[in-house]
Amino acid sequence: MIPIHNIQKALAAALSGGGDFAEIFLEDSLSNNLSMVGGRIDSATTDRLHGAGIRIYKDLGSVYVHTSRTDLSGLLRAAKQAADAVGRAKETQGAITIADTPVCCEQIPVRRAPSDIAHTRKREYLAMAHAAAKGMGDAVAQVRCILGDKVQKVWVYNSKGLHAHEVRTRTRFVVHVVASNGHENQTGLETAGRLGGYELFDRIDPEVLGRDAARRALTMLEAGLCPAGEMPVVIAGGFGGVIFHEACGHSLEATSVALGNSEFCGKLGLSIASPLVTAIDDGTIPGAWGSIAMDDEGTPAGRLVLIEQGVLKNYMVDRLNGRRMDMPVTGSARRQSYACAPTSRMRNTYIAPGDSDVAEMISTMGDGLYAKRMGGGSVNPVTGEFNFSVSEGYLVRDGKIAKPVRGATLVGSGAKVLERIDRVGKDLSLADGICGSISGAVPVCVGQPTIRVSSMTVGGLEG
Amino acid sequence: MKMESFSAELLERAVKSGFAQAEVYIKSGESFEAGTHEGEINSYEVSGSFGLGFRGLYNGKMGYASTQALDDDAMEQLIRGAKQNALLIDEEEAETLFEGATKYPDVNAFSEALEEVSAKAKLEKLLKLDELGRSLDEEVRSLEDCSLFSASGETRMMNTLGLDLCFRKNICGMSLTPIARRGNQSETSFRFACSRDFHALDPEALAKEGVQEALSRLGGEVLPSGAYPVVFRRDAAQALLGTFTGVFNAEAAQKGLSLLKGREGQTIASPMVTILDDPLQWIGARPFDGEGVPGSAKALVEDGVLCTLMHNRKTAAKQGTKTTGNASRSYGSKLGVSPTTFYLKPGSLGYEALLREVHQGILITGLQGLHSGADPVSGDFSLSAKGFRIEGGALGGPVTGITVAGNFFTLLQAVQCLGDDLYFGFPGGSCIGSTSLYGGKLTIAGK
Repeated sequence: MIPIHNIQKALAAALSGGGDFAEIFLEDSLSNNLSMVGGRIDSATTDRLHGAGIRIYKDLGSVYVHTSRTDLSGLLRAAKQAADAVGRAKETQGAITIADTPVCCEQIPVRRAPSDIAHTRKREYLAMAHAAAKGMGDAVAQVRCILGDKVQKVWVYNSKGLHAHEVRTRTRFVVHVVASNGHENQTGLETAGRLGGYELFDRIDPEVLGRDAARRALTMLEAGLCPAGEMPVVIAGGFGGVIFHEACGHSLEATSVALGNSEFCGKLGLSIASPLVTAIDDGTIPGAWGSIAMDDEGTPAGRLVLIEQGVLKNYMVDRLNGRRMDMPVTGSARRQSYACAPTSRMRNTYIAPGDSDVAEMISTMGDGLYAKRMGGGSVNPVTGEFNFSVSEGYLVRDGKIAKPVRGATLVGSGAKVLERIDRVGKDLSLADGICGSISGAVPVCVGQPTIRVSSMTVGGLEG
Repeated sequence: MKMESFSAELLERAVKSGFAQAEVYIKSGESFEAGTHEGEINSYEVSGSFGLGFRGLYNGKMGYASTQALDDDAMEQLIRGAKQNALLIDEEEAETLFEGATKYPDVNAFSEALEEVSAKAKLEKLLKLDELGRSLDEEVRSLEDCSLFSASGETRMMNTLGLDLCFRKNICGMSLTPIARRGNQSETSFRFACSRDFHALDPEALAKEGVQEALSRLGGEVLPSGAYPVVFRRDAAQALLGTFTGVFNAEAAQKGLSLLKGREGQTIASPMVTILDDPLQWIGARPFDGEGVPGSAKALVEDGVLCTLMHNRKTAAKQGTKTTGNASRSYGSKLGVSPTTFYLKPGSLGYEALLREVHQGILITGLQGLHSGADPVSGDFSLSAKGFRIEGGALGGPVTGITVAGNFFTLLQAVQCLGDDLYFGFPGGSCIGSTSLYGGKLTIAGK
């Protein structure tokens, strides 16, 4: 869309300050978001994101400039600003040659593009989920359903001659239910997102999502308070994988490792987890919410084994941190939009299946917590301390699921929890989420089979 | 200018294509941010941002669309997008545009002097912060983050009812996260300062504060689980309050997402609690809200009684009341409600006196996981925390690896002591302030 000679001029201008590498990331995205509350559509928006980010390296220093002006004068102005921040060139920069046609990594075709979907159809999906959730009982006080789609077109050019292009279509459906008994509220959330268009609805049923979210809110309304203390915890698959994402995944991103700020620095080849744990970050799973054909530096996405039978095998590495660490890139560089400089991020991250049986895990755990659905969480990569919330939890007494409990939070340190995983089930599943970090919010999948941690601190409301 | 002529043409074309009212909301700005690693500048970012939001009344409903590009497709995309979106809306509450007020408060939120500060001066100050952060103590030799930013922006609104407003602001700030290490233990602490006066940013004070805080956390122990008297230090109290401001949002209440729905005039908090929202105060000051309504100060809670929720014109019309000037808007988001400068009115106790008063218990100085472990709909929170013991009315040893759990509404009612130490933080574009507070016993999970 931008003439290639403009890109070549802007890259040359970017290197005029003495930088040794320059990159232009161009984005044009169109998103639609539709929200239904109480059975009525209360919000419908269409937003177009457009701009370019120019990045220059000089040794280990980097400069990033972004602008929404992508005509030649806008790009040159931004490139000049960036070059000036780098300094003064010792010699005149030669011309940069970029291929006329982009390298396109293999992409799965979108079968039902957002632009082909009638608004009445979108409304039907929302109404189905709303009615199904409402139908679960009078205590269902409010249902909010959101249907969002986004077509993100990106182009990456760099001074080594790269010209790469990808169109990423993503569609996501969210149901949020509030159950109330008049003086207390509890919530239930279900989400389903795919890389692709409205073929999402070939795989999911809005009514099932609505019912599941309502069931969770109603269950939690009846739930007792979660006891506080240290206990064994069984974490169900799917979104339960957020435990690996927070407790370990962020600390394996070069963002933390390259600067010596991760508890897993210098541990490649060493055992950092229970031998039952094999963990993978895979950008290539067809249609998965966190999949990408190429990363935001134009490197093809791959499948990366992070931990194999407890031994640390790889970090997730972007181009700049690769320089710091003297390691190759892993297709992990991501950013929310052109307004963010990219850095190493997770894509679809999961613990591989093991051979334990879920019923056995629970029956042999004694007294503890069964976390059926996790909420979100966060981690401090320096100390490894993580926390996340349990949105549907059950107290286990003497190996039997006793009663639902609410208000549970799990805290601990990443290194310790990885060592304490004493069961890994066979039932792998993935779930979609949005991960926030220094390069913004990006779509990711988390995942795992059901696992058991022999002992964790559980925060609850009952002392 | 391209943007001005584009906007004028857009409004004209909107009216011609059937919109009864139409409005343009533009945000543009420039920003600078740099960071260090071990004494070197390792990141440097400059940006020019621009976004244009269009909303218009079509067929009795408000349709929205936005763009960051002003190319040939943009105008058509905006008009077609907003039209289609208006036709989708089936909410019955009418959303209309505002024609503007006769008078607006005079808010001075733009410093010409700040615009004159050179990149060189900014980098020098940043490097000074980096150096101080790594040299004040032997146990603090590295920083997880050290950065400095400045930003300026302009908000422009114009509509077919004659509203025509413009507001400029700028700000600068810096932050650092020192890492304290002792043996195989490590602790961090994040510190942030911002101002409109570049010279008021004091690297020495910030570094000292951050380093001391990180050091003080070393050697923390895990407490036995149980119920403890809990004091939230002003920064932790501010983070907690900031997470729950949404319960005072009339839009959330009307949609059944806040337990304060219909509670106006009732006692919802301890008589010590007064909560104010004042768009004219401090660094977040602004002369008008997202609908162009002039700002003014008001009490949301006075002596424990809920006076009003925060409203925009649409939520106010639904309840038959007046807007409180809390409309939120950006070019890429629809009309909503948000706090401006929202704060807990300080009490009379000094920080030390408050600790003496509580005598035995736990002081919470840091909370993590607020985005997931706190639910504004139920008020429940269960959060990873750090802090200190309070022993004999003074600070004892550090505690770590614990969670603190409770319910926000219960805590509001249980407030027994308020400090005089008002502190502001800046989550999500609002300016939220709290003092240290004591609300009785809460559940702590540890070992």
